[in-house]
Amino acid sequence: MTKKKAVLLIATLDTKGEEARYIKEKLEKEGKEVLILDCGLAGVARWVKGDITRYAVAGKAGIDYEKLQSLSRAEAEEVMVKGVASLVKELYKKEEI
Amino acid sequence: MLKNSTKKKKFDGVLGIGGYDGSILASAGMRELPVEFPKLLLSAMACGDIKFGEYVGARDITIMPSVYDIVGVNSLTCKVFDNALTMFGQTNPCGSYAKRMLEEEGFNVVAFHPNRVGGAAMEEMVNEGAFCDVWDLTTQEISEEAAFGIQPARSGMLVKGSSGAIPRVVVPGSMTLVLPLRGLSKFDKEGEDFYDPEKDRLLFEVLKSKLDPGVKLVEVDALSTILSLRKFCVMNLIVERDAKDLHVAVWLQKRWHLY
Repeated sequence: MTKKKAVLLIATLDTKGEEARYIKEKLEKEGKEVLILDCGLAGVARWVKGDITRYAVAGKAGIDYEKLQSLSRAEAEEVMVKGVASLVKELYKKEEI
Repeated sequence: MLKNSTKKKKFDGVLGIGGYDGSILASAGMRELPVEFPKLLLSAMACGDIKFGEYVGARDITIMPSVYDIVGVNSLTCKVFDNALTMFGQTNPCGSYAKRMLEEEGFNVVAFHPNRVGGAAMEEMVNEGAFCDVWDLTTQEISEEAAFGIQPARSGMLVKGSSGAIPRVVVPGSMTLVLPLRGLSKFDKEGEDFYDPEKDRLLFEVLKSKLDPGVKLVEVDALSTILSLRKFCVMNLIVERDAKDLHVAVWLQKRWHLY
């Protein structure tokens, strides 16, 4: 049985939600599966929901997303970079990607 | 690595879309994946003048320039996204607001990222007649040209004759020049490090004295990032437009985000 091709889409859904939704819909029409990872640093996700939320990303780096807002931009980015890296690594190891 | 090609996997590739932050974040995830696993980053930062070692690391991440800033889906950007599936954020709120307002008026809005190539691409397309109005909300490339920054303007930006015969709103940066009297950035408002009304006044005096007499000048009692200025710019452009054509270029600064 051939398995559906699938894509992990990484984006900041506060600013790139509309585009992420467009890409997701387009890929789904082509018969592919899409898993969205939201790595936004500020604001809230719009247009489409992350299958993996920014809360999960920050949590993976050991910090509550709400607490991120009190950090400097560079510090917040460092946290999210760490979170994204460990989550993607974990997904790959679990062979979900 | 190769073992994965034979095992049952849920995913077959990774796609990232982003501006400044998004590119850093998405590529951080991609660098955790082995060589040969497909990775594509569609980035508003990507252009021939920026180095990508930081993003790519020692992996095989394919970087694709979006040319347009990634702000919304329209007839031009969807081609870029399709191929892939193949707003620096300080002025992003203003640009996003303008985009919504202009779309309600039936315009198609395309954004450009001030990454040195963004401004040049916009100017070229203006000269090719692709747009009916230009909103130049972010003259960052010109500042960087003056201050030897990493993304300096290519020649020809905001120079007379470079903008075609179409209306253009420049904050500050034509045909209408809007001066935000309460400051030029979120770091320039009262209480912040760069707050210096005297320097702002000098800048505005110089701009006013050098301005081509054909350029309309409007002073707004606002900080350049706040809503009243956004509303003003939108209304001004809508009133001044004389052609209902297809595209409006909104050029966003996306280096800093408003927290």
